[in-house]
Amino acid sequence: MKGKVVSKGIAIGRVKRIEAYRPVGIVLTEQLQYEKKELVRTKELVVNELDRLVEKTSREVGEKESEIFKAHKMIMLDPTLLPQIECKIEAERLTAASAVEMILNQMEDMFKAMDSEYMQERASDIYDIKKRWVKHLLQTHSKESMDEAVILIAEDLTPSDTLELDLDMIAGLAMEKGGVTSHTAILAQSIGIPAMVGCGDLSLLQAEEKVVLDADSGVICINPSDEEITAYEKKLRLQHENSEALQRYVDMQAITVDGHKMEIGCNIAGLKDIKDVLATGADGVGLFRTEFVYMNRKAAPDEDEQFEIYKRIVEGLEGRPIIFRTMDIGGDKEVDYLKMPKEHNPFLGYRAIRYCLDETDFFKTQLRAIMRTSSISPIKIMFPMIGNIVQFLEVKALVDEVVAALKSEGYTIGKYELGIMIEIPSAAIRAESFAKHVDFFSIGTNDLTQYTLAVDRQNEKIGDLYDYCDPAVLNLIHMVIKAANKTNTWVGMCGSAAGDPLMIPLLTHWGINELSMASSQVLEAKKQINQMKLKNIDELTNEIFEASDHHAVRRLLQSLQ
Amino acid sequence: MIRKEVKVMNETGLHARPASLLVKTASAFVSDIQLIIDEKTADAKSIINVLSLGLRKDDVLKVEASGIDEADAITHMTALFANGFGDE
Repeated sequence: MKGKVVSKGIAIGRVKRIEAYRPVGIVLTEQLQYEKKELVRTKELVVNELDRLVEKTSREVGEKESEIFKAHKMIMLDPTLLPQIECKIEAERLTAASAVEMILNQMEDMFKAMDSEYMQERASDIYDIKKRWVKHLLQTHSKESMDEAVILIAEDLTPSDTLELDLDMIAGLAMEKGGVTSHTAILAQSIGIPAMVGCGDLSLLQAEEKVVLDADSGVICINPSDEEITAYEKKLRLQHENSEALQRYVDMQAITVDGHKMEIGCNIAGLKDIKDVLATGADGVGLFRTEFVYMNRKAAPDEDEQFEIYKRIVEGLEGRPIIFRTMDIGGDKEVDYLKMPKEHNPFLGYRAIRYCLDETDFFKTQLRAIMRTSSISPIKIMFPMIGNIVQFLEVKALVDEVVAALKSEGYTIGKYELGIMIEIPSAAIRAESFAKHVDFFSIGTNDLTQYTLAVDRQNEKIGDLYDYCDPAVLNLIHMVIKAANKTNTWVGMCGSAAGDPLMIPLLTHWGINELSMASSQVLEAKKQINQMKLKNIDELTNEIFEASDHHAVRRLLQSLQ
Repeated sequence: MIRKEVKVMNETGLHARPASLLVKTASAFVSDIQLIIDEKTADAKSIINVLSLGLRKDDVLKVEASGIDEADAITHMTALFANGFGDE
């Protein structure tokens, strides 16, 4: 079984599948007493599980995020719930699972039929409970504990699924769906475990089966023989020794043999990522994805709540540079309470800065919270999905209003810089004009590649076409870097290309100022740059622009290694 | 049995925190407590029942308590509604 590698490494473990919910339907039984006992038994299990999730989420993410599980628990403990289901079992001679599904479906439908957004959310609470309870009822035979390393298999992982994962026990991830920059990939890279996506149908993998996830070669080894396992364990040991050797780069900066310094940043999503920035000795944060602050909640966080989070992150960085990216929501990240209209083309739609320029109160709340951290140490703020100069000027005007208001309220405003993500091709093409207005650029190769090549990065059918090494994409990147150099504008990169060993030499030679990547890639990048000797690559650059496709470019890039 | 009329004062109606506060408060009493609006009745100790009433701001309803501590129950329940469940 093959797949696309999104995070390298080897993992040996037992298969555990996260199932999509499959309806139980009508299942009749004569063993009514047994079913009623099972109902009570599993209700206990679900309540205990929810208690653990409240504690875990509270501890690892935040108090607010754990509210969702508290709400579920309250519903589970509703005194009218169990009697209703027991009645159903008796009246129609159904199994517990069948009755639970039926009663909860009715409740789900009742809430869905109600008018408010709030009631729609209750419907999804009921759905979650149904999933969880039925899962316990149907799994009477399997071990729930993850006491051995686990290779997690699923169709796909949503950002909220990851709240439940016991990350310590997971050795590797394999997803059936998903493109190279899907949420699973970002998660795996940030916690440094091997992962593969777009593996296609993995239903043949049995639960508890021992497999090797070889995310170096991009294969899943089923039923590995003892020799194969020994060989892999040896490889793992070697990798471990290698990563130990990398440790000496923690306290070193990324400077080429010729003395050319590169700034290496980390991409982060929240407070828990700060320890990785410090552990790898990265220079700072080149991308702080603020949308995670809005997710897995029932309502938007207010200014003070946001400020508390941002403040802790800035303080945790102890003066290192940080670039906040204002919220980029739409497309693949669903945040129900924002009531964003369903669109056919969310990636080309009403999202990120377009939403923010409309919902200025909402946007200003975030801007205020971010701007208040400037008194702690200098900050940079960049705006996603900027396509034309007028948009940026509108944003800048809002920032000016926010700063003026904060100052008049007595807040201290420190040093800040305003820049843009270059991810829409129009911005890349017009980089030199933008340079007159912005303080810096950061190239977002993930979306830039998607828009330039017209490829949905999550569509595994055309996964082959999506590649930032495409000569057209590289041409745009080169254009941006040159425009930045010419106008003395700081330019960094925060997309996946920034951490790719194949791309790092090219970008360094072209004159990029910073590369921001997953923390798991930082030490390798520093090592690579420290061993690099700069040379003239004009000829190679021309060959790249003349290359027929990304495969040809990749072959050319090998010569720079 | 004691019955009292109350009004929903909260801006957003009986949502998240108020609803669970109502249920928690009601559950502390031995008496049976019902919320009655128009033709619908809901057991105040059941979060699902309470939510399914879909109570909104300015809705007028009756709280009915029957049991040993019915007086206490009514006092507490009406107080909750009166100060908007502690919402600003």
